[in-house]
Amino acid sequence: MTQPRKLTRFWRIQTSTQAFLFLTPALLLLGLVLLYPLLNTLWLSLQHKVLIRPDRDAFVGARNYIKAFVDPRIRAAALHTVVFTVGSVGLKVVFGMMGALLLNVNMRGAGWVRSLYMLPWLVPSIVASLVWRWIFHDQFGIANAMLQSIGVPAVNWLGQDATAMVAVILVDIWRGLPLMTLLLLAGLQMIPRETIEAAMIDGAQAIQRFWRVILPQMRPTLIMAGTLSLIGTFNSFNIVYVLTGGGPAHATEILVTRVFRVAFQNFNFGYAGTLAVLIIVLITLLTSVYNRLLNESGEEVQA
Amino acid sequence: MKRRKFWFPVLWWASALLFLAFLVFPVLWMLSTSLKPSSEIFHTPPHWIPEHPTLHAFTTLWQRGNFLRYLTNSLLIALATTGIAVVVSSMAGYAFARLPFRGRKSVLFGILTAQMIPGVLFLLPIFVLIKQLGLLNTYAGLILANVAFSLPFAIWMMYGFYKHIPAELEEAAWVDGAGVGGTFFRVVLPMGLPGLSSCAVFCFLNSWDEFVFALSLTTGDELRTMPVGLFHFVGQYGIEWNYLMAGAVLVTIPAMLFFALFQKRLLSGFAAGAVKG
Repeated sequence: MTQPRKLTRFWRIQTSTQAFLFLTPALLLLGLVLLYPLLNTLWLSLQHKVLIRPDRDAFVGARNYIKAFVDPRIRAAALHTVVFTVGSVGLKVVFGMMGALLLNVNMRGAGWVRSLYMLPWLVPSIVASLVWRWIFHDQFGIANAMLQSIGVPAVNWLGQDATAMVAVILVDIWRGLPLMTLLLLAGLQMIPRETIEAAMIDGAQAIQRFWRVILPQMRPTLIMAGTLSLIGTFNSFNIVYVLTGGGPAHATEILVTRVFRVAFQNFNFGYAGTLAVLIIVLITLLTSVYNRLLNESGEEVQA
Repeated sequence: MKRRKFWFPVLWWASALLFLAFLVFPVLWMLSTSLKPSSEIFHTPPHWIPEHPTLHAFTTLWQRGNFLRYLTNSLLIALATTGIAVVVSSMAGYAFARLPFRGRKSVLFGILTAQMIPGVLFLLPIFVLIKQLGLLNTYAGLILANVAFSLPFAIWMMYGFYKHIPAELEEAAWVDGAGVGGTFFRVVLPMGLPGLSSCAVFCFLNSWDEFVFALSLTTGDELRTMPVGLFHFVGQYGIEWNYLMAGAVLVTIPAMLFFALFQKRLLSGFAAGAVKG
């Protein structure tokens, strides 16, 4: 048989020339628009560079990094990021799980529910933020109109620290819930039917069934979807920027909007670079956790 | 069992409607506001359904704004981004799925990480880069940035698809005398087509939603995309919410049409790949 030899040759040719040819365009593009800017940012982060005072430009080594760790604005932004991310992801996981259980049922008209459920995901993030800004309008917004109709006084949603944070979280949940539900639904559908049916025959009540049978099996999916959502939420620039601009008085300023402000309002490019590097380090750590979870679930990096 | 039969659908529909009320209401409210005349916007309490529905906001936008231009820009940029990203990522995805080469795992991890990094963090160096290339205020500059930020996800998605296509088919084609190119174009590509099309939808939606680059890599009105045009409306039309919401409707419709066209493939493809949420 010549076949095995031919096949070996096949894979060898594939490996040597094709791998190179097939990867070149992607690596060139990524190198140019991602890696080169990354290295640039690293270099920038070690410099003092403010657009309006070019005479003071200097290499300062780790000074920007030290500044970042004692900067009260950054500490505040980090705290807001934690509140925003944990609040949004936590609620997305809880309601996403409920939504997934709901959509997993075969019911007449369930197809329609499923399609409508995905709607917010198709709304561009800028649009989502603008629509909610209108809903939360302090005088003419429908949110306050609804509150007043049941006798609750109007709230200046986007004008107060706590409610502005609630609003930002709510909008992020609104836009992210369909995606989360979809991921959890995929996990739910991987649970063998027999496990659920066996629990039913045992006479377990629906709630017991959920806690004892479904939830333990959903653990890997929940952790994976949660991590993924964590990274995405952490980076929700558009929603925060358009909904509140980080206000009122920095109350909803998260790390990514802070970087933007340092770079394009204070024009402190060096320091903005430092902050960007720190965020990227954090993202890389989170990604490696996510990658490990992928590995454990069998969708590993190697084929 | 009988009791369940009656109560279960009632409970199911009650909770389904509760979810949908939250998820669909803002979209309906956007639509309702866009159909109101300016005088009705500031009515308290607001009317849920416009009392005097009118297309006034849409026609005014059409006359005053440059929406047709924004729409063309958005479409052009999104389609070009999608085309390039799909070709490049299907090749790279194939290489990662099939061809063992050194450093494959680390490159893949790098790409996964790149997928998680928001463009806004690289805005400054990318601005400088695009300027150095002389691509500020050009379609090419925006397309380049959009392609680069769609690629990591697209590569992961295509990698996931190719991994699930059995290698035996390619081997058989090769044994039958097809060349390297022939094997890829006649066997691999057709098999990966469902993956390719959902990858295309993602790149399109991603590019359609893109805001930060479109805002900062262009200066004039000429090259504005729909989201940026809408954002500038906030300044221009400040409190004229019916105009704003009409603009919002116009930005949303193309994305929905795209989704409606590819819905089935999209959802199945979605579960297969790793996803930016």
